[in-house]
Parts: sequence; structure tokens; C-alpha cells
Amino acid sequence: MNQHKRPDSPEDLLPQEVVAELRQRHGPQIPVPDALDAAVLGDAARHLSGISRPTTTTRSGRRWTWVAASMGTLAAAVLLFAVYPRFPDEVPPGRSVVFQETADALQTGNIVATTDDVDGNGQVNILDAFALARTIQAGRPMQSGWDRNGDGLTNQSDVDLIAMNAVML
Amino acid sequence: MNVSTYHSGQSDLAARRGAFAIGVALLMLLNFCLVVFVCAQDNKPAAIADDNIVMTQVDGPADVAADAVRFEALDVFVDSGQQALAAYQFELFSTTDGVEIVGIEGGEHAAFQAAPYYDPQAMQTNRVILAAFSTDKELPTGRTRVARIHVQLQGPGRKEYQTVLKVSATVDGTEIPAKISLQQASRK
Repeated sequence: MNQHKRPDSPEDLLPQEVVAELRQRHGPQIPVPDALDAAVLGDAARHLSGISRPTTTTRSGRRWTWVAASMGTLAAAVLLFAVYPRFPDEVPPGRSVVFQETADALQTGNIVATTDDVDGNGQVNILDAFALARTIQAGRPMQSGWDRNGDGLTNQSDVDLIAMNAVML
Repeated sequence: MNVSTYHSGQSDLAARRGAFAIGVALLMLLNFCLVVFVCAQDNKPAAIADDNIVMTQVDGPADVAADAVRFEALDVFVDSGQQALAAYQFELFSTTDGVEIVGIEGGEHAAFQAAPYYDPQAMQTNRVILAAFSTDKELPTGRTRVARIHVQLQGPGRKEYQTVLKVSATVDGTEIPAKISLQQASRK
């Protein structure tokens, strides 16, 4: 069984002539006194001690910022889930929460439908046309949003338009 | 300085930060899912009661060619019981091939004799939504024919139709329960 001695450094693998040439090219090694070495290390230590590492308080503050942000988002989501109408049937009768004329609502306190959803139940069907037809027939006051064709009048044409929209495929 | 202790402390801190970041990410993912759920619910259509969905089969001749064409009329009835029927809306479509809608008429009662509202694009297809209302004082009660639908049929055998009563209402616009039915119009 052959046993080979493991070289201690790569230099051991090189011919002595090459090693000597390389040492000559890089020049003689300059010895560093221990006092100078200690002085350099001391300067480095003083420099590093001046750099403040993140303290526990700082890290905790950042952490609570993240917690506050995420909890705020969660609270907003829960609030949205609680107050937003999930189904059209849950919209209180007589009120339209989907579309409204803000100005009229502010002035009169009433929510005014500006779409085909005349009865404000969240759905558009023949009952919206029926509601508008009954309003016209009864001579009750009109809302500006019911002029669906924009001709300045609220009449049978608007009723027909709403009804046609309700049956569109 | 004890280098191994320093590195151990750093790895613990990194592990805690990683766990915290994962926790926050999961919390935000939960929030996102909650918001998506709310938005999805908002678009969910109102449920239709099973009673308002009716399947009807109409027999046809079996001894005709596959490309043979014939015409039939289908009568649609709405039964509002003792309450006056002032408005209705329903959807009809054929679940079998070879059915095309070619014409639509009004009903039998004076209040619904005019042709109902429908999308003209329903012609030459197998699906239509019909709706009508009346502000007349005289309104039908009980079972009344509200529309007649003319169809062009191709091929032999029975055809199947599904009718869905979407809404029915009485004089003041209040929704009322009603039943819809479909049958082949009697030949005169």
C-alpha cells in the first residue's frame, strides 16, 4: 500500500525554482511589529464601537409598526364585511346603495337612484319599469336619475328603456 | 469576542424575524381573502327558489327525418292565486337541440294582450327573457296565459324546456308568490 505525504501548502507542489522566482517578484516580506498590529486592531475596535447596532427597542418599534399595519388592514376588512351588503336582498327597501346622486342625497336626505334600479332593491328587472310607470301614472314627483334616455323628460320612453334593459340577454 | 456566540445570536434573530414576517404575510393573506370574499358575495345573483324553475317536455313525432322542420306554439301560464297579477318576468330556454324561437305573442287577459318585452336577439336562438306589467285596474287572478312563444323545431322526438319565473308582483309592486307552467298550445 502506497502512502503519499499530503503537502502542507500549494507551494510544496511547485518546483523550488518557481517558488524562488515568485518570492523574488513579490519582494521580501515585511515584518509587522506586534505593537503596530495591536494599534491597528485598537483603532478598528474604536471605529466599530461607534457604529450603533439596532437596539431591541428599535426592532420592537418596527415590529409593532408592522403589527399595527396588518391589524389595521384586518380591522378594515372586518368592517367592510360587516357593513357591506352581501346580497341584493339585504339592501333596505327604498334605498339604493350602489348608485346615488351625492348632491341630492345631501340636500334632501334621500338616496336617489340614477340607474335602472328605480325601486332601489339592488336588482334591475321589470318591477323597476313598473315602479316608474306607476309613478308617472300617479303624477308623483320624478327624480332626475329616472330620465334614462336623457331627453329631459321622464315618460313612457324611459319605462320602455328600463324594461328592455331588464330582458336583455 | 466570542465569534460563535455572535453568529448564534444572529441566526436566532434572523429566525425570529423570519417567523414574524411569515406571520404578517399570513395575516395579510387572510385580509386579502376576506376582501375578495366580500366582493365575490356582492356579485352573487339572488337565489331562485326551486319552485320557480319548471322543466317541461313536449312530445314530438318520432317518424320524421333529422332535418325535418316543423313549427309549434308554447303557452306560458302564471298562476298568482287569489292575488292580482300586475307584473311578471321569466326566462325560457330549451335544453334540447333543434329549437329556435321565431315569434312571441302576448297573453289572453286584456292586461297582458300586448306582446311582452323581450330582446329581439332572442329570435333564432333557444333562450329568451320575457317580461310585462300592467297598470290597468282589471288584472288577472288565478292561472292565466301571459305569453305564447312560437318555435321552430328540427328533428324527431321530444323537446325539453326550462322556464324560470324570476319575479311576479301585484298592483302596488309588491312581489307575490306565483307558479309558472308551460304547455303546447292547442291547435285550432
